[in-house]
Amino acid sequence: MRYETLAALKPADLDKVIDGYRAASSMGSHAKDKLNDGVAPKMRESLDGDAVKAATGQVGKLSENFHYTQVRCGLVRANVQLLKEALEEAKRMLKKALQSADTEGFEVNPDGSVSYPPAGEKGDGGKVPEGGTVTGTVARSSGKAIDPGRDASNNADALKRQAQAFSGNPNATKAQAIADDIAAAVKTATTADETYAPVLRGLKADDDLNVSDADWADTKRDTTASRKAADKVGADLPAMPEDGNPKDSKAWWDGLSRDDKDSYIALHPSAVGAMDGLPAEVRDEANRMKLAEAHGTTQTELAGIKAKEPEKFTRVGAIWTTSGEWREWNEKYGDRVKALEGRRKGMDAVQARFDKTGKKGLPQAYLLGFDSKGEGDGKVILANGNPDEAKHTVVHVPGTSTNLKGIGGTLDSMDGLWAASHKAEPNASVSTITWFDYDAPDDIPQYVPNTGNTGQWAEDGAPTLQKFMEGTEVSQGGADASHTTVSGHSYGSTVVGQATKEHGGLPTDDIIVEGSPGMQVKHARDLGIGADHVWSVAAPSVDDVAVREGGRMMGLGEDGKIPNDPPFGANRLDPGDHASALSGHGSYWDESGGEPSKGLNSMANVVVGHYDNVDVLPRIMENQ
Amino acid sequence: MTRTSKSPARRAALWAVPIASIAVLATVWITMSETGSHPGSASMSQQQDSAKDMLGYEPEVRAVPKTEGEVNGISSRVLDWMGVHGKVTEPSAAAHACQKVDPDFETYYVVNHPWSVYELKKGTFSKGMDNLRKLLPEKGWKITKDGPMDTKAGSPEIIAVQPDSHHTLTLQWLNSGKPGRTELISVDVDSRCYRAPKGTDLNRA
Repeated sequence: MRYETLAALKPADLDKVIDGYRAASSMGSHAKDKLNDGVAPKMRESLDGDAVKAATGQVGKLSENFHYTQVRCGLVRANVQLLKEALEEAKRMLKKALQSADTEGFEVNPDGSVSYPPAGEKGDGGKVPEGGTVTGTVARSSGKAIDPGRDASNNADALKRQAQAFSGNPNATKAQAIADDIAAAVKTATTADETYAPVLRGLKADDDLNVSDADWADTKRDTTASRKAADKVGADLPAMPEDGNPKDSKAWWDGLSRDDKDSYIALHPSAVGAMDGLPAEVRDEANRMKLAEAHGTTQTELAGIKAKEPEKFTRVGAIWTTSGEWREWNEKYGDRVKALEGRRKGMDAVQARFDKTGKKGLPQAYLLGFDSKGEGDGKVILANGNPDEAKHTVVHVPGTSTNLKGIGGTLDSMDGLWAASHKAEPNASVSTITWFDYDAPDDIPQYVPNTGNTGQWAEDGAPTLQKFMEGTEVSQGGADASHTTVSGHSYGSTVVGQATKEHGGLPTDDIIVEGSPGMQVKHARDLGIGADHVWSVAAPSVDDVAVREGGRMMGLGEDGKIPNDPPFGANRLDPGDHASALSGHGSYWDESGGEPSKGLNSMANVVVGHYDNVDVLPRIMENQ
Repeated sequence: MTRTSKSPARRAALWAVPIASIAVLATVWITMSETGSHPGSASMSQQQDSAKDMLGYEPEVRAVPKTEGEVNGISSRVLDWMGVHGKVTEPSAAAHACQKVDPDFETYYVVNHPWSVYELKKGTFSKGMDNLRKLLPEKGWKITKDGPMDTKAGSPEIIAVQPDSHHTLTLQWLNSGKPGRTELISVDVDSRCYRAPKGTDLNRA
């Protein structure tokens, strides 16, 4: 970019572009929501069989197109916004330099050089030192080229300055400084221009109507490129709060301008999506972007590997056998394929929950956290119903062997708990949240004594859970805004127990544990919320007993006490007859016919705070 | 405690502790790996056999919409039999995991329909319960419980089963005389476990 171009440039002209992309992005968002929450459910009501499948399939595609539009336009908007800000900065620098030139009575030439008049004391010849013209230079050491006039970095510049000073004309040094400032302004504008041109070119979407996996994978790369561009031009986005305290995060977010909020969501979806204390709607938008991108990258990688898969079987004489090439391929990629397919399955289950909104009366879902890798097995935090507006909130921590691949089962249990809680108190909004943001032990054998710390997964997960709970409370508007329950299944209850020991305790009103192998405390009162607000349910099935007694033996319960022991002091729920069959460690959310559905209704009544409707076993042997 | 132990018998007894521990661990290991395994890894008949062992009946193979439709039908008849008019919660019958057999919700499912009726415009809760008490047996349902719930509030509860279709109906008149809460009749219509036909994606069924 040249001086003349910068002088004539009006960054405000970009406002129209920014507004246009913002409008397109929110149009995408609204259209997507309308299709998902309005059109698709209506179609399901009025169509049947294959027709509904075909129709909602098309609506799903269209909705994905709109989501893509929303994300891409949001990204373009953020980039143009930051480009505009960088150019405005260049214009400010230039304006200041031109003002100085004006004050001094210098003239700025079309090429950016500065001419100064004769001035100074008469020399030997009785003449005032002559005027002249200087051209600015930009210090090479500083990438950002700010303030180069006073930051001469190379010898040539220094020599030139000395020569001018010897000329005796005091204007010479001043003019040089101004010319350098002009050069710095031009350099700033040039850097912005050169940085953003390829990024914006890259954001030009394919002109086909089909949003493919590769398009989403590209979007992820474009987001990274955009973030790098912002770093390079030194974009002036207010820095994120460092310690991640949910209160600070909320205050920081509330203080951002709309532009900066939009830019943060577009450029830093991972940070925004994971930030405890931010509104559920904001986290949801960022995480859905992550979900779509992760799905795209996973599919693309999987397709790439599968494309290389050789024929599996080969014929040797009369016998069919696995081919050597296939075995080699499988050796190299087999594990990766399994991992990617598992990841995809979990992402499909999350997407399926979104597609169910409005269907069968389910409320809107919010993705409060997502990572295809997370702490090892993936990360999914999903709310049924907006927690920020909920009168009753329950956060459920799943247990042993939870991973992204099998998350569908836990999501389904929380759908069930939502419906049961809504039934129990239809005039109060309820949000049931699946919280899977810790590395769950893969199976019980990992607790083998003397091979390590059996509580290690809980100790690692507890601070994250505690912070999420604090963030939920902050975002809801304080401790009294919502009646809150934390629920922990199996090893998840150990994480919950550990989290109550975190600084400040666990901000919750009630705790329910299902099939708990121990909570790292010896009595319910040690959980910090009063023993009468601690609820335990355990099935007499072989599996459930094995898990609980295994936990006791591994020392997950302090002093060998686990929550369903009467002396632990929790309210023990009647699990209902159907939970007592010979096997099963997860029948708590089940309502199989033939037996009354006790456990789920009791949990729902805890969730809505109707404690006297909870079916509690008689208290026995409490003093042992 | 090991330091003072000298007699061979006591030394042998000490071995029993780790051996017992290993035995328990092995049991835990096996049960965990069993519950963690997916039905997809075995053949259909093997899965059905093991489901039958766990449930005491062989789950019928049935499409989800059909099972849901049947449960929705029962719900609307129950509302009619109550003879009250009021607000009814929106969610309809939905398939959920048959936890005992398939906690990951891949092949087996149950259908639950939890709903409640409240803010009555016509009829009373008491009359609604009475109507059901009278009509359920006439309509082929077997009442297995009619009495107060095992809770502090001790609210009235009726549980009935349909002997042919094996559906369970749980009716609870809750929150009567509780200020700040919604008085309602809570209804659960629950099916047994079914097996989804091949190719069903239960998360989207």
